[in-house]
Amino acid sequence: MIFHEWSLIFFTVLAQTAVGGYLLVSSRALAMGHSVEKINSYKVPMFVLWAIMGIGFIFSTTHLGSPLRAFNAFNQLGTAWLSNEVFFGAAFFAVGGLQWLLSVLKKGGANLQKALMVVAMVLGAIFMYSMVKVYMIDTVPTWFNIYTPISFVMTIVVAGLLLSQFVFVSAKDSRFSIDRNIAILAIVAIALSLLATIGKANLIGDIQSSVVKASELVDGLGSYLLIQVALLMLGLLFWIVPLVNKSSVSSITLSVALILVLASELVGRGLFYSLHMTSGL
Amino acid sequence: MTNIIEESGVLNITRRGFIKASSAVVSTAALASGISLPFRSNPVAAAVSDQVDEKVVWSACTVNCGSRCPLRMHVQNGEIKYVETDNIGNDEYGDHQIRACLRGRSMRRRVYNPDRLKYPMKRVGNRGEGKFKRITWEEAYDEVTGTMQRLIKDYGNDSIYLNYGTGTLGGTVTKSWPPKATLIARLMNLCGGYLNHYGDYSTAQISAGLNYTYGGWAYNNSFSDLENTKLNIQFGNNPAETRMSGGGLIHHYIVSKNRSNAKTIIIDPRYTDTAGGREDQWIPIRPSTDAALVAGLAHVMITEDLVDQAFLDKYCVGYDQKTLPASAPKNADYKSYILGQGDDGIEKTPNWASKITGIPVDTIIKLGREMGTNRPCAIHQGWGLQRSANGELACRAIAMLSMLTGSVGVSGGSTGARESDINIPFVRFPQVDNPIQTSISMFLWTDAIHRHHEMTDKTDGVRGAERLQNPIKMIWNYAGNCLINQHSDINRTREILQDDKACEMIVVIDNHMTSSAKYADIILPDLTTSEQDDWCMDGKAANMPYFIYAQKAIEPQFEAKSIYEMCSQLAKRMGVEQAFTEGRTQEQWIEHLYAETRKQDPSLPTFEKMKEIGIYKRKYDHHYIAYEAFRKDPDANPLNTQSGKIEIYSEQLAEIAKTWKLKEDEVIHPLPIYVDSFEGHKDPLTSKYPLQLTGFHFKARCHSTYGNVAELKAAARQEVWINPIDAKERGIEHGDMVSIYNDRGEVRIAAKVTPRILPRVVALGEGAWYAPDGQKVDHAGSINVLTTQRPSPLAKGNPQHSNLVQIKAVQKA
Amino acid sequence: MKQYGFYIDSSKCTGCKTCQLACKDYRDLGIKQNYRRVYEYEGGSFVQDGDTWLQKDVFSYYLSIACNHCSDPACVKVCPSGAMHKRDEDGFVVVDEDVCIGCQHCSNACPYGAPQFNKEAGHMTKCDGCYERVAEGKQPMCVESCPLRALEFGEIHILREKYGTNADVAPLPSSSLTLPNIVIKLNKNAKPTGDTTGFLANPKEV
Ligand code: SF4
Ligand code: SF4
Ligand code: SF4
Repeated sequence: MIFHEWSLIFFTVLAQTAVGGYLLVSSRALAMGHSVEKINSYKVPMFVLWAIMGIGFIFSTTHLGSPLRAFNAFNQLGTAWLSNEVFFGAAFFAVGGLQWLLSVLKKGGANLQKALMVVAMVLGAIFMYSMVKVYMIDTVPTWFNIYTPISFVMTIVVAGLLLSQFVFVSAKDSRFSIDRNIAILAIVAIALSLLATIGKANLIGDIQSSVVKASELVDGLGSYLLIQVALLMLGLLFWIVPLVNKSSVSSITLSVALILVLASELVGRGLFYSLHMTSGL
Repeated sequence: MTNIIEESGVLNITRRGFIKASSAVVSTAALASGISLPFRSNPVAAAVSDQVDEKVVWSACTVNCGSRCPLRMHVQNGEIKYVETDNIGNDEYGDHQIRACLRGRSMRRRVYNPDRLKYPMKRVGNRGEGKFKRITWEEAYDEVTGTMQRLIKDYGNDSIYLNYGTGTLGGTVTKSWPPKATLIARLMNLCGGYLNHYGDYSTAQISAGLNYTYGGWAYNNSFSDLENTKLNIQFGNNPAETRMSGGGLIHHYIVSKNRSNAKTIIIDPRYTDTAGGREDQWIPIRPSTDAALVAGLAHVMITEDLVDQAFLDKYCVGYDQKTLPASAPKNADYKSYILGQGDDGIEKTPNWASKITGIPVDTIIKLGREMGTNRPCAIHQGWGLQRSANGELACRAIAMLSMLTGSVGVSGGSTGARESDINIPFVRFPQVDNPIQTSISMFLWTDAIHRHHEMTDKTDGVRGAERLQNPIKMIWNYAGNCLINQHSDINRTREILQDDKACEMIVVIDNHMTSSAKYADIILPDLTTSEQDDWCMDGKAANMPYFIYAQKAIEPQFEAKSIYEMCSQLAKRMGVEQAFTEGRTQEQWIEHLYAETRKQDPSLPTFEKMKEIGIYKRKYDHHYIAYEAFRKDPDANPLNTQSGKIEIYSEQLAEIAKTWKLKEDEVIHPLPIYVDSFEGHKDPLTSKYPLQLTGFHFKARCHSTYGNVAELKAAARQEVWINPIDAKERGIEHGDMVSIYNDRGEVRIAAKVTPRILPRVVALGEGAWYAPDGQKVDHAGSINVLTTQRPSPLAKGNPQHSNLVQIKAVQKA
Repeated sequence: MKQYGFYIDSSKCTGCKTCQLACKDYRDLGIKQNYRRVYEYEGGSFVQDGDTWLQKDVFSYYLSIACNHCSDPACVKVCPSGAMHKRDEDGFVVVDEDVCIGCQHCSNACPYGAPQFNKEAGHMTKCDGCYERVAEGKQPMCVESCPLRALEFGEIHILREKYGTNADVAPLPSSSLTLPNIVIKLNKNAKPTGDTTGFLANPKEV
């Protein structure tokens, strides 16, 4: 079984999805100079995004042995990446959530909301950066390598693209040409992430301490990798087949695609945690 | 490892700059929030420890590991909180601390074990089923004495047997072995006696075998004398696992060995912890073939003229024709045997020895030369190799090496027996003579229950009488687990004991619900050492002997009582109370015994002083040199043998060999020759059971004592050692669950796949608490499910390391 | 700043585990917690040659490891609550059990297996060098218990003067990672850090 760290698996994947989605939705709103009405019209699908983020945070606290002392997690802000991660995650959630609340309440003009968006995007980016750094520990050779940032960024990009696409489609704010470009982007990202998976599998084959071989940490490593890739491809299929058929994408097929992609990411993250080892005992 | 990290390429974003920026954000955030960080549950309280009412009491670990260790019990409010050991002084070698091993350090978990026997109990289910009801002490005493009186009347005192038990071997009042030294024996002897036993599960074959060589118990130089040797050879001797105390022999062994600069050679089928990088050479050998190796070495030394001929001529009988007794046939001497001029006509060349032992020829030749040119040699043997089907011959063979090299009786030398120690004389609990002379081998009590009528001196080694008159009808089992766990062939024992018409009464006196206690009719709960006063004696400690005044640390738990009180109460009912107690309480006896001891040796500290210092050590400036006086002047100081010399050829054994009735594959021989043994590597049974199973002493337990301490079980897991070659053939990987089986039974346990054991040999630590399921399969790794009750030829002892088994994989880890 | 440390003489250590159990008794630890752990590293093989067996470098040795109270402690670096901290007065790395949130990240990072999570209590636990005993001038319980005198304790600069500076041996990680305050005397059988010819024989006991 690779899911013993299930709370962290869900937290990281969901947070990356939400942040990725938010970054893309907000960039588009900013880049295209959306009006406040337009921004407000995202409120329902954006609820889904914030729900994903919220569930992620709930998962993160279930990981703690002493959840009542969760606030102590901020203590080492500035010196421990885990503190930074928690802090910027919370800040992102607060500022982005405030912006969403304003959109729901139809309060605050476009400028205020856009200003909050910018702040939330910056916080989200730092949040994501911290999350990578949390796992870049030089005593853990299976994490301390280029594939940790790559795979985290790939989750942000692929799941984020899909989630943002879902937001636009649900808000009836999509055009075939843009949808297609997004899908092409997604295909490229997925191709990259496949390459990364292969590269990582190779690296794992080389990592070994006196105590363990990384490749022997997970029973059936190969089949898990296959499942991960298969789920991702299936998700992609649900996403692009409508586009290939030139029919417009529906929020239903997108949700199915999202679920499949998330499942793939969860498997991948499960492997990530199961491959933990130190260079010593 | 580090290389891989470097090569893999790492994201290199400048971290410091980022942190600076973010910490600025943070401090403002923290300030703004007004929350005081960090959140604590209970800031200071945890740091302050409660020192109220703590006392430190000297107690001891009195089990049968060969060592004895002081335990300093830290008692708070009547409860032992933790255990320290001797930490007095600056620990200089020679006046060093007697440091307890991992077991002694876990004594608290034994005293407060959930398995503790709390009340007297009486069996209600079938014997061995483990169903009991609580009874009062009065009921228990009445039941025991009532049945005993009836059995004595119907069958005689020789139907009452004191079973082997060494759980409190280190005690004085509480001493559980030898039987005659126990309080039970004192009680029984005041009531007409009991059926005695000779020998012991530890040393049956060596005490019988070397008795004919050296006369009586065979001594060897103390380990402390290793510092004077030129060559250190340990035959299956493993103090790191059998003498674990840090005041005892492993400490002496390592310090003395390191002082000597002598080459160390370990001969053992296992790469033991005594080896573990502290040896210069490990020679793995097939179990039960030591005598063949010795013969090969002797061949090298004889043919290359490296033997100490003068020593052999002057001190030994039967090395060559010159010293062969008149009664012996021609060419019955040792040299002729080695050179192939004896009966068998086989020359014992290194090549011959190599095929039997599995040791390469050049290794044997080199070792023979090393021994022959580095005299005197320190040659010690452990007791594992003699605990086998041909053990009496094997242990005598090893002693040959000390003789051939003329090492006996000199510093730096040896006798080939196990190491000895200097002891402090101490007055023991006075014994009462046993009116019954008959004695059986401690190993044949199960036979004496169900086939006593066949048992004679010539067939079964009955001593003190020609034959057994009565079956065993009652067993006292005090502080012992040989009733089921430590006796061979558990399934056979089980069957014999299940018939409660045969042996009618079994009384178990112990601390815990052991496997043996489950076979009791009456259980009497005993105190642990922590709950009473006693003298703790006989620790094996080279040239720094000591004794401990173990004092009561806590009140008796539940309704448990001391063995002294139990026996006094029983004596009262048998009408011998006064003779038994001589009017003293246990505490008074303790004082009395010490007063008697001080009469002999007034230099000892006072009783009051002992109370305070707990342990008394005596540092000798010399080592124990076995048979030193004999070596200096053999005529003035003859040995206890028939000839007064070291007997390589024993006329007594020649006589026994002629008169005793033996099975076809059993050999008793006047010379220390090599013979194939039953369940050895050449037994035809190997076609079915191709692996030789040997036992060893395991750190998690002292035999079976401490076997129920969960922390020890987890820290040193019970596993069967198997070589990767054998494991691979069976599809077994490290940690897999395997089944070990032969015709006698089946054990399931995890495999330790390790190159530290010779291929075709497997090893299981003895003493795990038998845990059968409904199908008689043991799940604890109890070796005696697989051992045989067939006794060795001469000692009629336990060949518990001669077992053939097969192993198969059961479940992947 | 004072810095205490351990000297571990692997040439003497017989793997008896007295240190492990003495600590367990004194600190009243359950079955799963081992502030000090004894690792068994071994390897080698046999080759058959007719009736005989040739042994090819069969070896074993033990390492008794607690927390090394590292000078660059991986555990402290990743701890978000500050519960895992290095003390100024004696250099011990200690987890403040009242502050720890139980995120277990320190145990991810420590390459010596020192921090161990106590699930029931919800926080990390770890060897604290018996700092209370040390403050009273006593030795840590484990050190004092060793029957083989394979453990010593003291200020690390003194131990290093006496015994040199080696802290590397398989299966330990490279000492450059965390700068552990230990000095190891190598067993004759010792293999270098990064060795893969042997294996950890007792993973379930540590
Ligand atoms: S088992 Fe033996 S060595 Fe260990 S503490 Fe007890 S007496 Fe000492
Ligand atoms: S007590 Fe000493 S010899 Fe025993 S395992 Fe610990 S360090 Fe090694
Ligand atoms: S050994 Fe591990 S827990 Fe101890 S200080 Fe070093 S990194 Fe931290």
